[in-house]
Amino acid sequence: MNKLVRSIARSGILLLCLTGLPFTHLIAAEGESTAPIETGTVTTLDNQIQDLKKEVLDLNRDLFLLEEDLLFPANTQFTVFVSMDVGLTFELDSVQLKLNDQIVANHLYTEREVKALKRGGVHRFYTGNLTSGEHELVAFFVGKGPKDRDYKRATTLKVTKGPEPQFVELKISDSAAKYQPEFKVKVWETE
Amino acid sequence: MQYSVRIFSFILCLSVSLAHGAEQTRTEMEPTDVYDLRYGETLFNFFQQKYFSAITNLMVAEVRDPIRIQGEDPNLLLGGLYLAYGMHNESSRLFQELLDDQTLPHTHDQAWYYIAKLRYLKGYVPQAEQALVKIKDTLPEEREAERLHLLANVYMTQQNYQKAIDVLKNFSGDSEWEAYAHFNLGVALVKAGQLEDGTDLLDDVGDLNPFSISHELNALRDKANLALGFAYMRSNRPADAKSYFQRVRLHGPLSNKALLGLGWAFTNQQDYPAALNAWLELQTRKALDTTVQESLIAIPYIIEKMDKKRLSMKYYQQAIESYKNEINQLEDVMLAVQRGELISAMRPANLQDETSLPLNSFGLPNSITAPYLNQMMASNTFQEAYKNYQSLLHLQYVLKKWINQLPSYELMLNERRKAYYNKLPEVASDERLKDITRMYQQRDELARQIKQIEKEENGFALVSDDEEDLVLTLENVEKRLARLAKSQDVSEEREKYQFLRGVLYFKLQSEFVPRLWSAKNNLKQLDRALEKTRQSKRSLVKTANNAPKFFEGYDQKIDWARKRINNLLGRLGAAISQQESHIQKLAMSGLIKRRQSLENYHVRARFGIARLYDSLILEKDKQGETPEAESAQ
Repeated sequence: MNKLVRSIARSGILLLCLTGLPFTHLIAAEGESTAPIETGTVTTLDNQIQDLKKEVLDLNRDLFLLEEDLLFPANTQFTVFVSMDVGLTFELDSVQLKLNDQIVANHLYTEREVKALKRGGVHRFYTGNLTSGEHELVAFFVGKGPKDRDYKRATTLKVTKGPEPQFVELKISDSAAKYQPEFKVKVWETE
Repeated sequence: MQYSVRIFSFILCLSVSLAHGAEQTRTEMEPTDVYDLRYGETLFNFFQQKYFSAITNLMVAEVRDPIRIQGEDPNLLLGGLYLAYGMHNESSRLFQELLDDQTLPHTHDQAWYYIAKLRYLKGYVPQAEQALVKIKDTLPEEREAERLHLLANVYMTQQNYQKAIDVLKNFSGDSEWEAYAHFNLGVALVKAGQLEDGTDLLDDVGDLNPFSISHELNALRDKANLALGFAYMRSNRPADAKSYFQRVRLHGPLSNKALLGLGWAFTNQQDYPAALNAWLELQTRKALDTTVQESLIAIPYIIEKMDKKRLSMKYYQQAIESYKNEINQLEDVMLAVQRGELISAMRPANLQDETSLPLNSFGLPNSITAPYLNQMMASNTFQEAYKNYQSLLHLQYVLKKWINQLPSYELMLNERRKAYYNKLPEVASDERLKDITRMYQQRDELARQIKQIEKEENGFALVSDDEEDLVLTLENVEKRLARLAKSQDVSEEREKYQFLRGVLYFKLQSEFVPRLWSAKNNLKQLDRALEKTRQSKRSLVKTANNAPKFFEGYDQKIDWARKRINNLLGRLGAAISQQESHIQKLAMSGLIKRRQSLENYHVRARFGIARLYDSLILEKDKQGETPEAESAQ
């Protein structure tokens, strides 16, 4: 080994090999080092793109707020979220929402969305307008339950809409005791 | 909007390992606690790699109702999102702000970690080191491993190999991190001049059991073996080199290079048939691979060594044909690039689906150039350009969508305004609204009368409709009796009259109290009805006064938004063109290099054939026969 090591040390070739250069002179060198693009130009372009991203994000936020103010004024705004706690006993396919016996929203969940829910993401499922007073909300959850059986459950809630925006969370969780999914509805209290 | 509910943490998911030399994404699945719906909504988008949407969620929350219950996590998340979305400047600014404020130790360490990573990415290596050494001890285990590897990389970049060795030698982590530590430490030791220890460590990595390690570790194992193989080749130890080349997987990203190296190792040992076998195996691989193309002239070279000149010539001819074809195809590809084929292939099919953008993953465009440029396309420069290009197209899509929606908002506002101004005169002229004052006056009069009746205990004032008829009849009777009494005796009739009046009086007086209560009760009901009416009127007035808020002022906002959108669309268009031009330059540069390489092979093959031809002519001259005649035979 020592002889080899000395030999390598003399030639410094191992260093070249470790940095990815090919062995024979016949192997074509190809890669980013071959691109005669000026670094300064690329940096300027990248900075320009970053600035544009920031400006579009700012504008997008303003437009989002404008749209919300226009379409869902605070005094009538009613929003429903879907969340999932662990979700071992239920594989969610879709959710349907009825408000006062009218279907107002349906959503078919993709695998990616279900994964995001299981990791703690909360899906803004529906935003609409409700007048002040009492309303009935019914949510239907469709998917696969324990033992891969088709599963459909509904949960109902009477909500009293006031002059403030109202947020309702439909939460899917596991009942460890029953080894069954549970579907809960929670009305969030705004401070 | 502050709430209290369980959700999850995220920070580790933003982990992008730089310690390996190549970026590596790791995601943690463990749930943590989150306490705000808006935060959860952000996570929902973030976990789907919808960074634009996730950043928008946090920006909107900041305006509507800042997320406070999560502590400093939202800002860490936002900084991480900026980083993932390629907004390094904004990310750096945010983390710096976080550090300027009073921060929790955990936030302090996370922020410094991100800043270090950003500085390293930008090439500010000493500054990255300064950031890394400020991190204390609150990083999770996985992140701490990344920190150490990043620090080692920083030292190696600074050629401070001893420090890199110091960082890595005491590293203990899971087997995967340990393998990377061995690899990096091996490299550091070699560079520090401690070659024996370095190659031993690389050998440790190269000797890992390929069947019990991950795909990623197998790639590292191949890399170590390939490096050692070439190193032994350079030191004229082909026998040792062979064993390392043979350790590389037969089907992997480095297998072609290993086969090529193996062929040269056999050649050095003058085991030409074995070398030929290795290179013929290469011939079964994709023809566009540079190692396969090199093998095209390596094969006739080795056949020539085996003293089979005519067969060698045949293979050289094949190589020349193959190179010519490749060069021609490359010319076509270059023309296609100039015509925009690559740019078209890089446009996402579905801009609406943010998850389809390659912002956090390695991807090659589905272009005819990809097989020729896979190495260049795998480079960080190209991948960044690719991501930036798609991001720009996505931003353009978002703004076009908004600008298409603005007319519908304007229409809606106009309809609201029209409805309001149509309704307003109707409401203003409604007489019922004016009657409310008169109704109150009437009510007061009634109250006064009831009070008077109570005071006077006047039962006759509380008669029913039927009783009122009776009272009227009695009054008429009384009047007639008075008139008749002037001409005749009506005492008997008067007696009857007084009896009947007495009966009625008795009834009214005995029922006075309940009747008075009923009257007062009716007055109360009237009060309630009047109050309700007054509230309705007040609400109507309030609504009428507030209604303009739902349409006034928005026109200016929409106009302003339209101007901003148009301005940005113009600048985006220019940036997209610049980016396309940048990508085309990158591609053309790679293709030109590729062509030069092929031309080089082509010249060498022709040189080889000329040399063989001359040699054969000389041989045939000696035998009095031309090589063509022999070939024809």
